[in-house]
Amino acid sequence: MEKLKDFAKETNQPIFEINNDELISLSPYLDEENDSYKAPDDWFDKYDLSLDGFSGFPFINPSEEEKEEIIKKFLNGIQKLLNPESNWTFYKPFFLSLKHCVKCNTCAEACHIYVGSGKKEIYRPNFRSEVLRRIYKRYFTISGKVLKSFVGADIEVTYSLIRRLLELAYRCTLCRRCALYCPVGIDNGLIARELRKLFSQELGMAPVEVYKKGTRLHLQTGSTTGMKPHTFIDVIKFIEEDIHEKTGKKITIPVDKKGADIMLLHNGGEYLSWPDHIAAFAILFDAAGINYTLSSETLGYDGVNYGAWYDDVELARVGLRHLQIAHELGVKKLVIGECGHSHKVYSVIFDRILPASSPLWNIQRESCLPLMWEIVRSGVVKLDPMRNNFPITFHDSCNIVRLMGIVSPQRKIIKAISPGTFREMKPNGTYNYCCGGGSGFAIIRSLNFPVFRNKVSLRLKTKQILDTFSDVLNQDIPKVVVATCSNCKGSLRDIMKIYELFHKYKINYSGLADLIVNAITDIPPFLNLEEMEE
Amino acid sequence: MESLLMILGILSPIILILGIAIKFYKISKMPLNVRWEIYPLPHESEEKRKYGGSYMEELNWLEKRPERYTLGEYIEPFKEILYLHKVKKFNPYGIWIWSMALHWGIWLLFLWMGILIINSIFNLEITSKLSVLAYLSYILGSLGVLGLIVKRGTIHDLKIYTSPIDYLNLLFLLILFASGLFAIMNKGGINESITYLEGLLKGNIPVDELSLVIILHFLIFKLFLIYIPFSKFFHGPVKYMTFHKILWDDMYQIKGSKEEKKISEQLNYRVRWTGPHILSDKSWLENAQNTNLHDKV
Repeated sequence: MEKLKDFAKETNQPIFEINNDELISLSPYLDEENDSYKAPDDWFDKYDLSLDGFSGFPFINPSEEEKEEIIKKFLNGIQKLLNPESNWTFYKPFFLSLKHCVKCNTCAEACHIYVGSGKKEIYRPNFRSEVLRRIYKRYFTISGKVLKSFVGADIEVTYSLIRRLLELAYRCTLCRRCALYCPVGIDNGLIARELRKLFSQELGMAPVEVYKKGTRLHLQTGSTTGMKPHTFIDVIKFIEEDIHEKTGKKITIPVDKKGADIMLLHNGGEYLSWPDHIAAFAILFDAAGINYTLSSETLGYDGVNYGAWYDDVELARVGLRHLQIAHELGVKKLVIGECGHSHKVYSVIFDRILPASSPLWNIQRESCLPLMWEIVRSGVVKLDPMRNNFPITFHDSCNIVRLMGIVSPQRKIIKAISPGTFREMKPNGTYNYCCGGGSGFAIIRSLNFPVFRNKVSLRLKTKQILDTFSDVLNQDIPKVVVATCSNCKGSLRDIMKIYELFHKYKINYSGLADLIVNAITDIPPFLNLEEMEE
Repeated sequence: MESLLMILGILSPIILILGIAIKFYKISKMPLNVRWEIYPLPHESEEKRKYGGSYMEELNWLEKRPERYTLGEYIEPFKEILYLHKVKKFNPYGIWIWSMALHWGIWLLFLWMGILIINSIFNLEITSKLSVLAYLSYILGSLGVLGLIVKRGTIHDLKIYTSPIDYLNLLFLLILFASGLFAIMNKGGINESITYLEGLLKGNIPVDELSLVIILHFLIFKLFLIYIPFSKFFHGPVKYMTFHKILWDDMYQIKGSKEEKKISEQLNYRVRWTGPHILSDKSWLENAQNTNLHDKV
């Protein structure tokens, strides 16, 4: 790309293409065929693949009148992002990030997508921000209106540009690693989120998986999985039976227990995709004598809040309902299970969505990790570290480490329940790389978006995992990547499957609660690392 | 001419300070955003600072008062101001050395101007001994600017993000530093600088006794001061807001605090957005409470 304004070029062909030989190499661990993916020919007329040949939006191309309306609404949306009332939630960080970037591009190599893609210009963290900055200058500042390209106000808003920006807002996982690198404190990750917000809150455009089958389904049925309360109760019964079968223990999982100390809020996807993980929590909390409850109220059993990725109004609605449910149960504390974005939403963002005098605000909102460390540290549950005698590494959830500062408890736990087999990825902690599935990437399945995710977004994490286990790769022993986030586990599952890490190197993944329960001495080993959960 | 130089001499530092103050005031009056911090935080305890930990690692953290190392927030920025720590560590385009030179050129220029003022007020006659600072400032500054112009003009990844105004800003700095260098390299340049500032402080700049390059240099310096709050140069002061007030702001709400009051007010703001799931004419609170709302259409 010679000039940024080329981004507005009128063409239905991709302005950038991804070639396999340009992607970051996974050699010597994996031999990859050099066959570049191309979307079916008829898609180029039917859908809009004009950014990079990929799309997560199966919209049919609009008419000319509709395009005009979209342009008008897009500009209205920018105006609302710049309005302190309609955007009070993020106005200050957004405005400062829009105004004060010095374009040193120090943020570039922070981004796992930019690096993973072989440094394609459009994936640079600052690229989409700079496009928006130039539009802002061109349409909303006097200097831009008068001096135009002299002050960098050289991008005209066209439908093609808007359509590409919509896609580009979903080529960032909002991990905000770029913000950590910036010497000025500019947050390009936030700008990507603000763009998503503009599209959703003004134009009603969002991936079907995060809006229609996401927050809408969540509010309507109680879960983004579509699981209704009676199904939840059935799943709980199934999990109780499963625990009995596996461990010989009869555990009653507390549901709707009024006055419990804690309401535990799991990611709803766990009940269907990883019921063993729910079982692990039930076994652990039962053994430790924790006075807790789950909720069978609509929404009360699914702690995800996809609004965090794209829409402030939806974010507030889902979150408020969760707190109301906890309040109605009379619990003192809402403990967030192993779900990264849910951690951030309730512990950090919701701190300022309600006033401190509200009874809902006064329900303490905490991560499950300090509690789990307390259980392990106290010795209330007898654990045998030798049960976890295999190489273990830990994948940090960006939301939990970089955006919340919970770094240590999970490491202390793993070190305490394994016999010195823990190894860190590099980089790790607050400087970790995103799993590649953050901010909705793991669940968006429309058109060929998953191809982009698998080829590009998951790539650096795949390399990191292989590098971490490089000295034991060829040993016929299980190797485990532990993650404390459901979304990250989804990405790890995809990585293991697509890049055949389990098949080739016996690399598996697990939640942290599962690993702890695997070490409990009075029940059989909990993990089956000889198989990979699909 | 004299009057113009006098007026600019008096007004430029006032405009600089007022400009920054007004901008800071405006930013501080912006709505209180939701928490959006990023770790590690420099005000955390020593142990947590090392790995980026927070008070949220503790069980029942709301019942404990977080241990804070407030001084850390004021020490950390110096890593960036004096060493451009993040640029050095992360920038892949080799701009650190040039950017360092430019920034040190500016710091030394302010220091030099400060020395000239002190010298003029107290008649200390220290300027000749410290004139090395002026040489360093002007040489480093000029080299830094030249290096950055070359980098921005030749590296594709920087070039496409650079607008003519960015080059103009660099050129402006180059003229500032180069004019300073020429001014003090002139015979008697240091003394003329003292004469200029003494004149400014006494309300009578003896233009006839000064070389053109000295007058030009001080004129550009004054314009530079005026330009800072209204240009890209404001990226320096604004860091206080981006870091201290956003990225390092991890303090939870306290009952009865001004933050709580602000949040209560903000919840009554009208939403205005017109997406299919939003009640545009209702407040944020009314929208958030409307959990049963399905698409309007």
